[in-house]
Amino acid sequence: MQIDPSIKSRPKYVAPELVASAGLQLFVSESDAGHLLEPLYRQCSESGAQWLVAEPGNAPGTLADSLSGYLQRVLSDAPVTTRLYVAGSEGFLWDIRNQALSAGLVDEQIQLAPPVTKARRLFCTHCYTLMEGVTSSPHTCSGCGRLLLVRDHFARLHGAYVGVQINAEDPEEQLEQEVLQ
Amino acid sequence: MRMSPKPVQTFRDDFSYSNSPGAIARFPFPFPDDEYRYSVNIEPHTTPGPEGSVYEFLLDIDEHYLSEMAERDIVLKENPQRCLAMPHMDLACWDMIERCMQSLAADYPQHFSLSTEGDQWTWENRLLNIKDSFTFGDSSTLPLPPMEYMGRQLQGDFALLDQRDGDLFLDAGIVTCPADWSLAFDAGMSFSEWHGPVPLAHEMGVFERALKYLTAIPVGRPVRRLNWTLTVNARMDTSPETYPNWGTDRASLTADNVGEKVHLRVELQVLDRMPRSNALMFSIRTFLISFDDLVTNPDWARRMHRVLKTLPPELVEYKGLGRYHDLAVEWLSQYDPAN
Repeated sequence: MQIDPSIKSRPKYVAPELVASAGLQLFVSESDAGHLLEPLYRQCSESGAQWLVAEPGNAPGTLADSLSGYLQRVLSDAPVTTRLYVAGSEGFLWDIRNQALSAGLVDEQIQLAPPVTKARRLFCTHCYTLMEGVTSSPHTCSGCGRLLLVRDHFARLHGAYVGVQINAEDPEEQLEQEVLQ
Repeated sequence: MRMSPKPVQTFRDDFSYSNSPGAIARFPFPFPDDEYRYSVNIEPHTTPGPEGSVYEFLLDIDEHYLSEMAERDIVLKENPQRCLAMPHMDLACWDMIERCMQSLAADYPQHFSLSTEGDQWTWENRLLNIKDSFTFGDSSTLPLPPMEYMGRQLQGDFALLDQRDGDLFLDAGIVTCPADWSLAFDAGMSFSEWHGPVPLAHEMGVFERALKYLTAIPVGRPVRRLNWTLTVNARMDTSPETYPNWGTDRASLTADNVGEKVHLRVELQVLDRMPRSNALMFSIRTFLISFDDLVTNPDWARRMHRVLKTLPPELVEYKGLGRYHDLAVEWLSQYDPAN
């Protein structure tokens, strides 16, 4: 028996491919991830394609929140053959996907490009704080201050990996820092 | 024997929880063999089962009822997000209310009664001094959201699984005594996602087969399985949320206190199809027994030793036994002449 050590909830990503028959080609990206969608966009006719870019700003909430109103408006008028292509950090991908589902799309209409960075969004299982851009484990929770082991168990609804206190059984334990892959 | 609820005992701090001889006798010892291996161990939950057993009725109410309801209240007051229901699960919650109230009133008429006139229902729970009238299907007529209202009157954790696209999604639940999983994090996950961290079983095709079986369960034909782990102290709330409070329990074990502190934790899991919503009600009824009480049954003592001794390392790790597995095996070996 071949043992695959990966946790099954962790998403696997493949480069998006254009579905030529779509009534609307909708591209959504973070500003530094546009190059992942550029080749697909170039294949589209100008009239049938739209591209929304999320620019980092000072608004509260996630970057995807800043697009939410506009995305809902576009999707409310979109044909049923709409295809959505998303590129950015992993948390952003799932935020946009979740917004699209609540606007009536189904997963078959949505393609998420491989995340542009290995940095993760982290969910603290003790105080439910969400942290962005986590690159190594363990990571100190910005909410409760506990030292969290960053696990590979992933929740699509949160777009986040779970963090669990790493030294709860032995606070004296010496820990090594590991770069996340 | 049938169990009557006794006064409140605790699952935290001083851990006054204890099992009477009757509760020990009916404990659902989960091992059919000397070696534990994964299997799709699902069987029909045909009721009534043997009189007085934990399988007699759809929902088991035993001597720990008041204690578990008091414990659930503590957990929910500390963290209300241990109970949730997504908006599309409202109908499934009412399915659950109907199924649970009808079962309890029929199976335990000394404790519960239900009278209905059209959609005007009156529910009485004499164990908790509850008597409420409400309009069936109208959540605004209940004193609490429907999942919390019903869940606060039932022993064990409950989840409602929404069935779509041939998969099951964890979209509602009340989870205050889990074996180390978080409803808040796992909410909305598919069947294979929420089992993501379980080692070995995915590769064996266990979840694929189980999902096929579960999505085909018809109304009125519930199924059940047992699951198990070990817990240090009689602690019901072994959730990831509160792990900082109980992680150090594992380091508190010595050869002298294993029998008193280590508990076999058994989950009687029942899956029951809901008629209106097509959701599955997933009940996880947890039973705890100390090793001291467990070894009063020589067959259980011997088998528990052999199961732990032969447990694959991946499962020792996954069940969080690493720190005290050897200690537990050594202590149990005195009850197994073959060692």
